[in-house]
Amino acid sequence: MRMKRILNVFRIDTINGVRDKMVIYILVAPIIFSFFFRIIAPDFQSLSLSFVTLKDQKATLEALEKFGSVEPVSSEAEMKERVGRSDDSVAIYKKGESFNLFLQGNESEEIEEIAKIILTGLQSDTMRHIDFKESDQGRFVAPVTVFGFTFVVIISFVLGGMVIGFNIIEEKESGAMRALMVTPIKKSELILGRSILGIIIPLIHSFLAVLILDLPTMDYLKLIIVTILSSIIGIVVGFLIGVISSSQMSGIANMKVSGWLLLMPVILGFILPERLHFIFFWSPTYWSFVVLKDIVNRSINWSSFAIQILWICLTTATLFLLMMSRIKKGLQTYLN
Amino acid sequence: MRLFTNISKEIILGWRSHFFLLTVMLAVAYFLLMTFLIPEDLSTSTQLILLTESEEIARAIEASDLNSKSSLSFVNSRDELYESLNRSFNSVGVIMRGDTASPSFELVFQGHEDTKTRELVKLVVAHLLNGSDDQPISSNSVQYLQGKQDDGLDIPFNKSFLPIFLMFEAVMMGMIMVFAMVFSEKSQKTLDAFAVTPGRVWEYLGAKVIFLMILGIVFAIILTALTVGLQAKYLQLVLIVSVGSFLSTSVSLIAASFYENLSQSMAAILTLTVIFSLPILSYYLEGFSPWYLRILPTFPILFSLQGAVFPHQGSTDISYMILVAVEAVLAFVIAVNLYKLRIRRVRM
Repeated sequence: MRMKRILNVFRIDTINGVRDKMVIYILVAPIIFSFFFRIIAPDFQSLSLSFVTLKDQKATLEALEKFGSVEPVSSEAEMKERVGRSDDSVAIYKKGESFNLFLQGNESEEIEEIAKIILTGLQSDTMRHIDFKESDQGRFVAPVTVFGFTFVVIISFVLGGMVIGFNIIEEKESGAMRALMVTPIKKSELILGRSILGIIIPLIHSFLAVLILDLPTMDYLKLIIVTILSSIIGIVVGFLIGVISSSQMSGIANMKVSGWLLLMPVILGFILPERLHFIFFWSPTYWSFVVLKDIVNRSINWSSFAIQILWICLTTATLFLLMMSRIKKGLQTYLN
Repeated sequence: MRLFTNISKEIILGWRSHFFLLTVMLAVAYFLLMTFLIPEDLSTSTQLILLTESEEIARAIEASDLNSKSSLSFVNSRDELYESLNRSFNSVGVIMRGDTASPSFELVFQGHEDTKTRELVKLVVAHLLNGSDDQPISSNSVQYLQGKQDDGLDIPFNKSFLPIFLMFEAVMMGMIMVFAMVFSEKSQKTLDAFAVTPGRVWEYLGAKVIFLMILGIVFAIILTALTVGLQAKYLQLVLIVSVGSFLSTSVSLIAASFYENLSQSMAAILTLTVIFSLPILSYYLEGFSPWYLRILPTFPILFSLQGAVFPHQGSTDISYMILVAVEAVLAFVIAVNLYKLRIRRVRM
């Protein structure tokens, strides 16, 4: 195995990628996602109640602003129209001496209950005799930022893998494979050379996401380790898509299924309670999600980190072993 | 007539590429996921974890109806409280001390909650503790625009994913598929060959749009029938999926015209998919509907889908779909003109 050949494959892939702007697009997309998560994080951080009230009721407006966003309207008719829209805005306004609540009727029980509690609070001044002390757990990063960060890193290596896969399909279709078969390059050199981009891009993205999402207390060593190891998942899946797909059409179908399997554990892992997470223990992306989440929350020490990294390695190795015969078979027609 | 010939060509090609099989398999997979993997009963709202450090208050709570509240859970020690808080990012701890005459409370937040959330949590806790001391709300103070929905008709958590899966697969199915179809034909120069036939570009692209619409409808009907049976408004569902699929495929056709191959367009596919999926945030976080989500065409589509598959949730105004249909036609016209331009450039 010659390092020069490996680097040449990497250089050619990078030049081709930059020339047809592919690398630029891949670099830019996750950065845009990071900015998006940065923008929505403040809105998302609150319990997100939207109220509608009458413009001339200044005291009500100020009282409601303590609990959520308020949209002032000029008449009761306008208020009804606003509540009737497809989002969940509730109207609270004063009529005579008492407060009224106006709902669409299809709100969840929780929204209705909270709206009623606020109504009671306004009427009875519920908090007048109670004094609260506050403390916190030190988890200052909002859940949406945690999710956004893990999503950007995971999408980056999944995207890197997909590009490897589609490059292989295109080379198959264009006949470039035949040209490669008469060169002295070895299968292992080509695989390694082609994989470098799939590791470098997620590393760049993870560092940029830290900056964009403003996560200053990041443990960079742990981040580098988990990003490099997780990138292997994308590379394995990318090669698999490339060798088993006969055309771009079947490549898309395979990408859809594999993308579903890679991203679903991450999304559901965020939504479902921890007691149900055992369902995703087979998925390497789930373990990447867990490690990245814990790194951002600063709730992981080196021993727990080592165990979780072991899980990433074990699940990726199992995935690779399961797919190995298929990849080998595909690569036989790819290169000898 | 030429349009129908093109559609049948697309259907035959789609059949050979196993698109129909894949659609049915995906519908069944999503059904299995919803039925067996996602729990039926799961609250995603803020949970309060209560710790009483006073015997007197503990006895008072036991006598009250607080134990039966689903949004509350009780722990016996601070360690247990911190462990529970670590397990769930949307939980808040409440430590109660003192006696019933002068209780004192400490709220243990995660740290990321903003002032509005903290104020709301304080109000909820105060309300729970005040109980009957608060002035009750008279029934006249609460009004409903569409009449109150029956509490027993709440959508189970697992089935609440149905409109999302319908949007992802039925409405947005065309987004990825159309890229593959366009690039596959670009490499075979099909469009250039088509240009020298009497066929028109809109017929060529229209066939793709309709084919993907058919796939979307097949997916929507199978998944909805498996999940909610005959409860859904199928006519409305087909209409929403058709309009939504028309829009997403037309937008993808526009995007695909700027790229030469699938690898190049991967980032664009992903970006479009993520942008169109964003209204899911509003769907799960009731009340979270900022203007930048409301202007997305998938926002009314998602909520109309919810109204069509869960009609008992109250009627959903599908008039917003008219605007989506207008946007879809506009996107299709732009796509047709872009492809015409490309053919002209090739001829020159």
